[in-house]
Amino acid sequence: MGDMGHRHLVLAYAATIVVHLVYLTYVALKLRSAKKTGQ
Amino acid sequence: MKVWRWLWLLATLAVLAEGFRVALFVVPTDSAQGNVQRIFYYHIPSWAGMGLFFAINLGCSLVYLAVRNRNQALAIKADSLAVASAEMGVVFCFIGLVTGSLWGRAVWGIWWTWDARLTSTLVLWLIYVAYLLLRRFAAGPQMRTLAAVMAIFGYLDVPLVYMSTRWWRTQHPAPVFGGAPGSGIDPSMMPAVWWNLAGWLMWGILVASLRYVSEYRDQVSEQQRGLAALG
Repeated sequence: MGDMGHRHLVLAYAATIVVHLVYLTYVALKLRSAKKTGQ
Repeated sequence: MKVWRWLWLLATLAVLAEGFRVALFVVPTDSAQGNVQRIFYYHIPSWAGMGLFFAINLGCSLVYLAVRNRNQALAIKADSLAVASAEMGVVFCFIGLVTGSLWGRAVWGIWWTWDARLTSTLVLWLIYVAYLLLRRFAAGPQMRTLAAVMAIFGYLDVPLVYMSTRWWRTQHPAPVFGGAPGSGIDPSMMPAVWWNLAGWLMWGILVASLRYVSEYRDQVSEQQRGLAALG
């Protein structure tokens, strides 16, 4: 496993954080557009 | 953003940072798998998050169906929370599939296998993606009712996913929690599980609450536009 295991570990942690940040960006955009609609 | 959300965000980031540190630098390395086993500390919170948010989606869908003709204000709140929790559940489910696949590639030598656990989980993800697509593209007053009914049927796959490793022989490892006697991980590894479980669930609650606010505002303004058009 060795290096390959390390690479997969890093990829798994990075993927988790990136996917959550992408969704957070989507939520922030939806929130901004809802605020504009509400005004 | 309200003050409690900023405080919640700070607490969440602190817990996540501690979870990251404990998972990578504190708990011992697994003697059989090596460092790749540490994927487990991000894999398990994803499934816990998925289970929590799909359960909230089910509860909100039931409330929506029960009150939609009697209490419009509560119906809008329940439906908005149903959307927010379904999206958050889909995100957690997707991360669970990705982290599981990466672990499988390192340990099994394959990215994917069509065993009962993996297949039922993929089906579950597709059901909730279909639920969100229905909400996005269907129009008309019956859309929300249809989506709520779909959410109830979709949730039936959740116990199937959970029990799949108990009911069938699967390539996926046997249950780590609540499995046979002697199953589970070493107690010295548990702090990494608890910190990351707490951190990612706190993160999910925060993001879902923000998504709820935007959806609620959208639905209220849509209702007001409808009433204005009638008046």
